[in-house]
Amino acid sequence: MTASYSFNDHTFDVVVVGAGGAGLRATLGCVERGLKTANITKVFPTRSHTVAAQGGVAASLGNMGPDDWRWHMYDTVKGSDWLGDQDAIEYLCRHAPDAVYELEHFGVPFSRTEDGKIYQRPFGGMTTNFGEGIAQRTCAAADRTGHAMLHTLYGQSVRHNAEFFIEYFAIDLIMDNGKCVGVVALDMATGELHRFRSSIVILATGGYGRAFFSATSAHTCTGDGNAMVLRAGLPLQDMEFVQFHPTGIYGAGCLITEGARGEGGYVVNSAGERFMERYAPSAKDLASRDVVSRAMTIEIREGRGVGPNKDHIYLHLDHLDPKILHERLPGISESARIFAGVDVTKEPIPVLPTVHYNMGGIPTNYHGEVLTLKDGNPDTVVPGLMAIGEAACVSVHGANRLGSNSLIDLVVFGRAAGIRAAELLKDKAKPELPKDAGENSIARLDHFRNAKGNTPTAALRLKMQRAMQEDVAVFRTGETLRQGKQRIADVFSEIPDIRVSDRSLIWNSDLIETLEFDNLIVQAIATVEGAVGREESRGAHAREDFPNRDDEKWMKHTLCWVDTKTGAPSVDYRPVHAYTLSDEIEYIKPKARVY
Amino acid sequence: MVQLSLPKNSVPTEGKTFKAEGAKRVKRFRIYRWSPDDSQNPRIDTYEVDLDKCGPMVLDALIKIKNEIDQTLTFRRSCREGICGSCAMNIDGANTLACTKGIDEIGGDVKIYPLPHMPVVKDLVPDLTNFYAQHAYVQPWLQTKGEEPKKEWTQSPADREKLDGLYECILCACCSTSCPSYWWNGDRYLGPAALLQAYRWLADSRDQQTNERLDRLEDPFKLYRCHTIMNCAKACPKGLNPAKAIAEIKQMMVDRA
Amino acid sequence: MAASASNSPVKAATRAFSIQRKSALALIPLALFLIALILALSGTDYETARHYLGNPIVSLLVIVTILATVAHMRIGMNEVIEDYVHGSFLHVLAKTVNILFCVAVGLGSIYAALKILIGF
Repeated sequence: MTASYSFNDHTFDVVVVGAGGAGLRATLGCVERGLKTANITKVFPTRSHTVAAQGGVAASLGNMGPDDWRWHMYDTVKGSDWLGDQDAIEYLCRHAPDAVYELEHFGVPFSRTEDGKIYQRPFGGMTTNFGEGIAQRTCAAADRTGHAMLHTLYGQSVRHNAEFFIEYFAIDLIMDNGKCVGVVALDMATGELHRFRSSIVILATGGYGRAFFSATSAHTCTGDGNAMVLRAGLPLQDMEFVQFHPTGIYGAGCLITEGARGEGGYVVNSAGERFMERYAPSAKDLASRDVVSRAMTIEIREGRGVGPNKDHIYLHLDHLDPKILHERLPGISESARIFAGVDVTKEPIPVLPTVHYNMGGIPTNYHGEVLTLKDGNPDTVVPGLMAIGEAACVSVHGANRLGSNSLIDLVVFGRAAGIRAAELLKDKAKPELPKDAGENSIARLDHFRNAKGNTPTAALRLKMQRAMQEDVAVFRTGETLRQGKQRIADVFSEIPDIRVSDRSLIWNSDLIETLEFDNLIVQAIATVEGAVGREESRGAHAREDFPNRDDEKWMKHTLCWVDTKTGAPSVDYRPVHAYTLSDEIEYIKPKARVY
Repeated sequence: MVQLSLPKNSVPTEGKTFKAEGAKRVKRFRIYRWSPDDSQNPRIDTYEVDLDKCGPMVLDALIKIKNEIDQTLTFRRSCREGICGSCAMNIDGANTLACTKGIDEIGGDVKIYPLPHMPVVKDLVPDLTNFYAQHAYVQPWLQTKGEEPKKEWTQSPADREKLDGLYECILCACCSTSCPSYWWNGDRYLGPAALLQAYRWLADSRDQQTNERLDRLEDPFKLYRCHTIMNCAKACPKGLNPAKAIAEIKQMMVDRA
Repeated sequence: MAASASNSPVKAATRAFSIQRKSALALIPLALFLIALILALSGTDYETARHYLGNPIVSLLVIVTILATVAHMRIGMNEVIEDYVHGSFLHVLAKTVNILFCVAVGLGSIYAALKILIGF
């Protein structure tokens, strides 16, 4: 241990880590309720990856035709391939409309219908009347909905004078006998360490898409909160479920919203065939994402891909009215021009299924409280710790998330976390810090800061990303997964040889990237471990050696712990909640999932 | 008086050169380096990059340099698709986003500096604290009077269209830091980015605090330092026109007088 | 702050902006008039020039031109000072000198025009 580090100490009621949609909404909720709240974020709030969400936010407003939160719930349960917890899904869908109206009142510039209401577009897997028709449920601000939401939520945070610690990198939680009592963060601009003592820590740190080589995710999507949870000796849930978005731009990996298909776009193979008609006769191009991604992968694999290497698919928008494209899809028109050199009014966009979203994460209940399996109780609450957004696994998305359900997840559960935090903090004294509080963070920081091995972080990260991309892909087999497990274990074993070249403490992005890689690799381990174990196909987890869903054996959540010293994972399971929140809707029983 | 030449300790010196051995298509990147850790002047380091092994954008080259050549090179980046606004910097003499700027758009060496006239934290990372404070000053949130409706505030498509070209701002600061008026008076002039946002809320048919918003801008510096130089509109990587928005605000000021 | 736009007091900065624009507009025809006058009077003798400038309409236009020019000049120079002269002492001094200069030029010019008109 080095004596040269010292802490700047802070005390708060609540510390939120992350300032994306969920983190900002939770921060707002806590501040509004008079809780002394800090928000720690490694990027300026409007740079968080929520900003890149395009298509919209799902809520059964019924502005475009009849709609009902129960229909939304049915679609979400079916989309999740029955792995979602139905009490949480009910909570999500019931509160969705109010959450969207609240966003509108905050100032989100939603697109409008002729009568001045919020415009809603069709999205994959969203139906009316329990699967009968196509629903227009996804509330949109052109194709920049995430940007509009994030900037508006940031504006609200400014309005409420929320206290931000911007460009602070959270290193580790402070745990005391299984209870979370704070968090330690590094001020990137000065290199100073800050120790936050707080009654509640809310992790809103997003997904870990950058564990893969090609992802729509930002460079900063490294799942730092997930890894902190693993290091705290707690499990992550359902990590094997990684969503591939059907339409990432070929090569660049940038997202083309599903809203493009919602507005009438379609995918074709090298024969010019609209092949989705074969795979999903009724929903076609608006089947859920796992279905479309698998169909595209099969087309390419069977030699019907487009391009010189026959290794991608075309997305056509050129039949749509240029006025509609300009009004409703201006952002992706720009992305396609910049990153694929394509004029969408004239040519198709080359696309490929690309890693996009992590259904798995930190297990929580629908209040946002973190859960673990302890003494046989699968719903044991971890005191002082909450998680929301993509970092969390509530689980509303189960084995596959529906498009536009993530933005609603952010605000509904961000709000829920604020409410719960206020309830929990009624006349509760602030926890005392244990004697060695934060020493684990110092040790971790100091270790990597002085890492003098021979392998630069980027080289190891690339190895991990390649392994994940190749072996934990759209389709998986026991063989590829076991190979992937070995490759990831090999990368882990090379960490002692890592080298950090920048020795400065001021804006040391070499060090930050190394800490992020250290976060990614343990999540990669949990992801492969979950995937190797789950011998069935469900949602985004498609095992060619086990092509069917097996409710008998696998209707359960995977919990994975990782010994972050040795890299050794261990797995256990939690039952899926087979009940709803109220008697206004019955448990939706599993059936075959056909689109 | 405004300072028109660099202070002595800010004049860049020639730094190191990193060769790309065996590469066929070589592009030279000349990048501003400065660290507060030593008391050295800033320097320009030269990195040769093999374009056959590099992505098409300037950000791809910066990441390649950081990954493979020099891990100490420091810059902000996140979404790499032009929506988060992190990687704003001065490339080939103009402020833009590294992630959407094609290397092939630049003839000769690629010269990269931090956003002009901002305090530098390290290398290509500027301190944007003042820029963010100015954005906060315009009260970037919807302000209404009376009771909120149970559902949404209605807004006609025509009224919503008035926000196009305004709400898309990504706060990258390319515009403000390209504005000479902002260079000279950045402490008191709000700058094009903040004023574009001010107008975004003034133009929102749902907002009912027009007069109060205008009052907050009424002073010789906050708004009226704009002299329609138009660098902002030229620099904006999202194709927005802050100068036009500022002109609209001035018109609103005159109209209510 | 006033609650409605109608009775909101006009603020100095907007007034300056407004006067700058209006004086600029006014100076387009006024400058043309001035050029025409100078061309018309070039080559004439002192008495003829004095006679024309003593015409009430010409004199009025000359005075309006002086006022518009001085107002425009003061605001324009003030803008330059706001932009570039930052030290508080120098700033106040420059602005004061600017005002004094404009007032002096304005008063002197109007005095001359009136002297020709009224002939005191």
